[in-house]
Amino acid sequence: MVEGRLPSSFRDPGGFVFARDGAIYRQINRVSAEDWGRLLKSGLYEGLVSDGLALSFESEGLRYAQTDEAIEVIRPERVPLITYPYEWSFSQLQDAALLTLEVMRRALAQGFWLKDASAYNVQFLRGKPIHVDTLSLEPYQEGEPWIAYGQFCRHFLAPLALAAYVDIRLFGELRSNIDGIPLDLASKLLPGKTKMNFGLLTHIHMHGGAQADSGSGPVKKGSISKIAILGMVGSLDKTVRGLKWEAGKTTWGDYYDNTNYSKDAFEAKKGLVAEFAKTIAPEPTTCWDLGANTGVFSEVIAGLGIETWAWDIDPSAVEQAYLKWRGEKRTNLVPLLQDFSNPSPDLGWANRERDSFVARGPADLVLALALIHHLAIGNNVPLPAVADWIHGLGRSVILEFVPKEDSQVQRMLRTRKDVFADYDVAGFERAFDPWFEVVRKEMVPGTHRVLYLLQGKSV
Amino acid sequence: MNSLFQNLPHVAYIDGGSGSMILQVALAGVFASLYAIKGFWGRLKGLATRSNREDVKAHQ
Repeated sequence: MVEGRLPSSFRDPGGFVFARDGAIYRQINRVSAEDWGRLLKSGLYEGLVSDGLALSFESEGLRYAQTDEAIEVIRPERVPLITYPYEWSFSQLQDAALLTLEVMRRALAQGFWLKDASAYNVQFLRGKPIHVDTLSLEPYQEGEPWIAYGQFCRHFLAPLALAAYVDIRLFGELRSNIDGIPLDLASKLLPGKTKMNFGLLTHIHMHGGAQADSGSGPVKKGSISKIAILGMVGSLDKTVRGLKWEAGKTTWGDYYDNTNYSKDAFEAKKGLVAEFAKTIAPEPTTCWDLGANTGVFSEVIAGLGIETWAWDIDPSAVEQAYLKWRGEKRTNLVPLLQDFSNPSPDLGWANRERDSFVARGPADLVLALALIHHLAIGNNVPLPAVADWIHGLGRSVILEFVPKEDSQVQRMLRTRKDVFADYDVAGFERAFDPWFEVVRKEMVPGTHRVLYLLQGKSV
Repeated sequence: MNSLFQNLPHVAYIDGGSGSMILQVALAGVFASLYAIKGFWGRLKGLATRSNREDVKAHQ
């Protein structure tokens, strides 16, 4: 982890986030002194924290101040993994949007409001979205329009509407548009019938048009009452809630029915995974399940008390896992979207605002079950390159090797030439040997597959 | 642009976008009406619920 000011924390003159000895702190600058004092006195933030809407913090005085502009340094509760909106499922982004609006509403009730409404201000902690930017709250300015209205619509409403009415894959636009999807673009992409929806008509179509038209001509000063701001927030809330996306059949929906797995073999694999995980020393506290599908094996690992992030390429699988775990109030499981053949890159200013997938590792444990054939055969990645990549992601790895005899690999090879001469157990072990020590190796009963417990070597 | 932003607090740091600001002002009346209508229905529902509850109590 970097030490000092985080590269992503440079926009707000009111303060910034920094790392010191592996802990995260936030410095409050003199320019915010008055607002900060009023916020603490108001009891607003305390209420948000006690209701689980905002991140708690401890005051650290000035002992870790980074510059002489500091009036206070706080240590927010640690979020163990920072994730980004382009890695969330539909309902995750929708819940993050509703959380932002709830914070705004409560703030307005106590004479404050949000000075920004970035989706990056929301993180997932204990399975739920939480607002993490303490400095976003500032005293409400009577008569002023909400400065973060456009940002809220670009970060939340536009991608949700595009997913609901066009295609969930348009969430990917959040990757290339780091300040949210431009509203004129969203307006162009949405079908005409969305103009019949009052919320989408005003907050996307008219909003997009207003932004396009505002480049020239005189600008008039106007004011807006608090009642109108509350009405606008209510309208945004209603519009967000009204958007639906039905998770279809997952890519892997029938996966377990079409493999060599019998129910017994599947249960045996679950048992082996748990057994392997229990033997790892020191005991892992974090796990990344790569290609988690709907998270069946993530649940096994989380059941051992290990905080688990279940990554998968399929938006339906991630959505299903989120809805299930949200319903069960699971606190150590978060599903996330990730395409391992093109994982999240370093993004933003100087490529340092948003960390790549790999840069956010390593986890104590990586689960790579039935993944390797997708990388090595589906994406032609040579096995040594797969080994190198996985070595950077986790200290211990439970990996399932799926050989050519397996029906899933047979299916993949049906439409392509078999150019994978080294793709067998011996080739796999040869490729992984420079990076990992094999601690356990077991056949998955009733299949051709081999389950490995690997320990990363120091390279 | 200064005329739009002059009253914003000094730590406001994002660009609100003049289109976004103008739209809010232009639709202020509509948004305020929505809020008033919602409040009116909320109060009406509250009254109905309370009177139902009182009816039930009276019959117990």
